[in-house]
Amino acid sequence: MTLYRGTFGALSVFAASLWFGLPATSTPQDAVGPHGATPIDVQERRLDALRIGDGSAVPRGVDPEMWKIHQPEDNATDAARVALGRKLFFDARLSRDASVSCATCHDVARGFGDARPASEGIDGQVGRRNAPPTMNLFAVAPAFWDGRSPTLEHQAIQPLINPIEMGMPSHDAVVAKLKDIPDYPPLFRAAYGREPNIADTGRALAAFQRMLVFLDAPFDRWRAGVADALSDSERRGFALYEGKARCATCHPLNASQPVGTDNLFHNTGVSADKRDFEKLVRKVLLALDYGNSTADVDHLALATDMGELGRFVVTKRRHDIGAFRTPQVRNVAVTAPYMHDGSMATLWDVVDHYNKGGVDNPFLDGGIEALALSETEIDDLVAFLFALTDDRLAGPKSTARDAQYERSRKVRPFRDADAAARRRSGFESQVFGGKDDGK
Amino acid sequence: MTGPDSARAIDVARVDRRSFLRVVSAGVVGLCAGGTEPFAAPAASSPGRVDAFRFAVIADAHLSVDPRNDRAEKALLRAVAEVNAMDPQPDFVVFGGDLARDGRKDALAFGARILKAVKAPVRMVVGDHDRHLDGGAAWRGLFGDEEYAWTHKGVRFVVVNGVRRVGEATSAATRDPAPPGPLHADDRRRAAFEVGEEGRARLAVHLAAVTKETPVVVLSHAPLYKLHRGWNLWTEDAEAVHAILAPFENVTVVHAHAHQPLAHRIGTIDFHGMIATAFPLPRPPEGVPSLSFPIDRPNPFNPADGCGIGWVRIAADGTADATHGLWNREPITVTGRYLRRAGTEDRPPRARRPSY
Repeated sequence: MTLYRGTFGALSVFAASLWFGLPATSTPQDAVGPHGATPIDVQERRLDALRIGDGSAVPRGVDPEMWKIHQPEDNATDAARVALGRKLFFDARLSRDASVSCATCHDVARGFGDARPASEGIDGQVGRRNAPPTMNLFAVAPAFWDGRSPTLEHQAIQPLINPIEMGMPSHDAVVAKLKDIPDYPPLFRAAYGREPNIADTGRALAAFQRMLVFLDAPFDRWRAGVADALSDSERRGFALYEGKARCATCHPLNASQPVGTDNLFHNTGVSADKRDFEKLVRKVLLALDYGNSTADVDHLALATDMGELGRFVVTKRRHDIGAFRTPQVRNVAVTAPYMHDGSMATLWDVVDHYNKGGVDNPFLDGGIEALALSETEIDDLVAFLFALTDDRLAGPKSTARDAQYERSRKVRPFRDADAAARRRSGFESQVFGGKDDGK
Repeated sequence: MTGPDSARAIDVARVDRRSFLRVVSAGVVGLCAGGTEPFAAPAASSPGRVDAFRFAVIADAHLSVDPRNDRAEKALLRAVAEVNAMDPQPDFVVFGGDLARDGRKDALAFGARILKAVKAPVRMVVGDHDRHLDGGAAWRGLFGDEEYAWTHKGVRFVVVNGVRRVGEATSAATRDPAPPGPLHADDRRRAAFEVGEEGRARLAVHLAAVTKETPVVVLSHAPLYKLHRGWNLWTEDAEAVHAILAPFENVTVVHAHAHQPLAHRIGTIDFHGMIATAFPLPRPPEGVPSLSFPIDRPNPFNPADGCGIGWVRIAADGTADATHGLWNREPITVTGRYLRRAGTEDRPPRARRPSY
């Protein structure tokens, strides 16, 4: 439990405490709703304070042409759709026992995530994936860690019927519930010109989430020519990001990809040392033989250890074994813990993981190599990552930086300086230390 | 690890059990590496008919055993894991040559160590890089003779050393030792490959043991035809080699060296060029056979792209279908039928982007 204590800052200590069964050290402001989430009314007030757009104009910080490119043909963003989506996003009545809404795990007050390794759904069930922040999703597709949803619209309606998330028996049941709530039919008619239905539910949720744009960071001002927007350390960190540390290969930060993801899937070995991939492969192929509907795949991914195969569960292609989507790097400071399973508590841990060349496994992405970053370089790189935080999240950023820094001076569970400097390589132990030795 | 097997009689009981297992497992493992073999027809007694089977190919590992760059080592480890995961297992695994980047003994020994983990029997083919420093002495010390043959389920397999240098046999006693340092692209300044008089004689002897109806698979590192001399995709005595193979009705050459899928047919001989584990090479600027098809250019940011393993399925009539199991893409199968129908049937998918 010390692993997470003092790591996420005041915003999330309470959630982490719940998670590990610690007594809460909360102030009245930390009052929580069901499943440890920030109460909805508090979240809504925070969202208002973040001043996101209402959908009638292109969000701040997004190039209008880029916005146009990412607009789906059948779901152009407008104010009515965003308003409906916002209401749906915060509405726990869409879950079986009216305790879980989208905002339970995509908590506005916790960087649009839930600040814990894996998320909790109805009946206190805990899944196996870290909730990705619902920020800047206008430029992110396909959705989910394994890309099992092609669009945000498709993604938004899957948790509704996942038995360990919102637990509704079917999409029809969701629609029936929406029709019974007097507020909704007029909102659906205003947004899409028809009665509530599941596809428009997904569209409205997607339209709202597209407005959650947080691309106003010190980095952007520096890019725009404000020389002192970044500190010396942050500037050195950016040079590493684009150069020696190789981050930009998969997390490009440029005009056409402003959020820092290649929207592809890579095995970096996060789950490699815990799993026997081949055993899981046999298991998952057998399981998919019994059922391979969207819901079946959703279940395998969230509720079973087969989810550790990542993209493979969706594509059944061997090169996707253990591969997960490249998450965005924007606002990464406020979205700990990291990786698909929330297994890394700080950005120092994340950089340590890549510095040592990930974890060796047969499907390790070819671009993952030991980086030989020094401790100073690691600090610079992390400083740069913090500079990718939108100014509106400056408070949480500052808290997170203090907590992560403090923790990184005490524990660095993923550091392996010998592997990083190639004084020892993974393949040697595989060849000489394995069971096959001397066969 | 190498050496000829005695020809094995077909074990009918075993065949039936395998066929049964295939049916049971088809739905489950159909999408695993290599897929499953289609239902195998029982071996007929008519000449040239064989019991269908599959063997795997790993090639061009180019190990340097340099801790500053372990990509090649990681790639070979991956290839071994992939081959070991094939279900059903291949009957054997051919290593198609160029185990070591510049033929250093420690790199060869390291490669041998990695290949020990292969579950199926391994058959070694020597490559030009393997022989670079010492003419193959270290390689022979580890793996035995460079040229050998065996019969498997009715198919004659002959391994040739296709990477002798022209004139090597006559000048070996006096020729200068190889220049120090790794073998690089200036290979074009060196002599072309040949099977050579001695190699051709041994090939003829290895084929003398079987009838002309027996399907023949020749395993070589170099392509055994004339493709592009500048890159040493060239066998100087190709015509003489083809003449030895010509009397046989059903001949397939499986080769490596080009680090990309190649397909060709000359006379009655099918040629399948297999991909590498270490790195892909670009399309040669000239001489690419018309049956060869470009693949989409490999992504330079993903060193595994364009690389992979391969497997060859020998059908009951003795024709060979080669599959390129690309690590970052869908597998591509080049069938014997495609080669024999001059590319009018079974066309592999076309590339969407130009090669480099």
